[in-house]
Amino acid sequence: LAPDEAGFREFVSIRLDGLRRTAYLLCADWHTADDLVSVALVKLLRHWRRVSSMDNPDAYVRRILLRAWLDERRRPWRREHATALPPETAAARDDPESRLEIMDRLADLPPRRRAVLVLRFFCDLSVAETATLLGVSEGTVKSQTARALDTLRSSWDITVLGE
Amino acid sequence: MMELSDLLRNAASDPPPTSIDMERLIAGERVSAVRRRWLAGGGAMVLVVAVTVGVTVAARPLGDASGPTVPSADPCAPYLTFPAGPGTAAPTDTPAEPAPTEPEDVALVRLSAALRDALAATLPDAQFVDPFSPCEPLRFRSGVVDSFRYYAVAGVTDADGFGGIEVMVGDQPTNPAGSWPEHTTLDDGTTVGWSAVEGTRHGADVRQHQVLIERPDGTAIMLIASNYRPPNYEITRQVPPATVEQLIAIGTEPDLTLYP
Repeated sequence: LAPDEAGFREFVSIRLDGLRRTAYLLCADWHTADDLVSVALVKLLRHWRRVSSMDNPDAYVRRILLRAWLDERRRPWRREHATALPPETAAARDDPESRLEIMDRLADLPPRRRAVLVLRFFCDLSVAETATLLGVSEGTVKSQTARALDTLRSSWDITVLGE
Repeated sequence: MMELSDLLRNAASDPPPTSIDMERLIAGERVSAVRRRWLAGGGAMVLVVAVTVGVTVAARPLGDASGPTVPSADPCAPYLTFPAGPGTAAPTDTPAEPAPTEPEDVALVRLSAALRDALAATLPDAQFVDPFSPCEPLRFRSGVVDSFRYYAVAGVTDADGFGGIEVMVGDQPTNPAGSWPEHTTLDDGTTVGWSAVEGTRHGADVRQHQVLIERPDGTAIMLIASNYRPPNYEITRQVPPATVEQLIAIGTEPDLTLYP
């Protein structure tokens, strides 16, 4: 297993930070984000031999991460749960108000729309890549994106590149 | 005018130090891989034994249903329901989990009885109700969460008000107990991690006690006690209905294992 582990370590060391940030934007809590990433990494390691030979292992990891997050939300008792007093707020730097506000706005979105925004505008995935990842059509991704942006724009003056 | 990508990057900037322990994660997976190989080799024998044990266990009485405490016209009406499948459908290309060591229906009966016994022994003055089926005995269900094989939730009523206790049993801890800020190893090798979570929701103080137990046999048990209950997340108490110590007592019940 050692050669596999070496490859796994290298793969993860490069992507860990990005995975944590993606998870945080989905779940809005750094502790939960680490839990979600841990779930994804365990599954990734378990299937590393197969995944490492894939053309796009990043898509595989993101898919597991998304599934872990959606699964977390499925837990009935926790669907509305406490946001742990976030130590990260103490580290807020340049614009803490907009930082918290965007997280609040994201939290108001249904999970799939939130995922679409994070994948497209944080992970910089294309419509096609996002559709593949979520297992929906490109048309659905476009409509979900439009609705999510409409929701954000109802209370915020934002723009997106390429519009 | 703000650009969305910049806003998202700013929101996720300055992450705190990660609690993910890569070495622990890899070491844990090594152990799991060995166990899966062993299970694959001895699967048939385990199945025969499990069925035999299961038939015996299934014959045990399930115990009395706790009285419903839900202010509803129909006391047996569930006040929690599982979300519909299609809306939460997971992407399809996901890895298969290792095969169960015991028939699922047998494990559900056995674990449910163990949980009821542990709750009654640890919190003798509390009443427990299954929010999914308030007039039936509290029981585990499968397929609720991905990271743990079996899930149970109890609405708890005691002298301090309402609350909830979730119990999840699986063989794959989401975050190894040894990596939790507060953790210890018991004499029998069981690792226990715990955490007290405080926060606010809609202006109300929300508190949880969380415990993760990893037995030497590979079973992972997550327990969460919350000071609120669905469907309205009504908060009637300051503290969760079980302390960390009580959750540990429940989770270390010997029969609460995937490998009886």
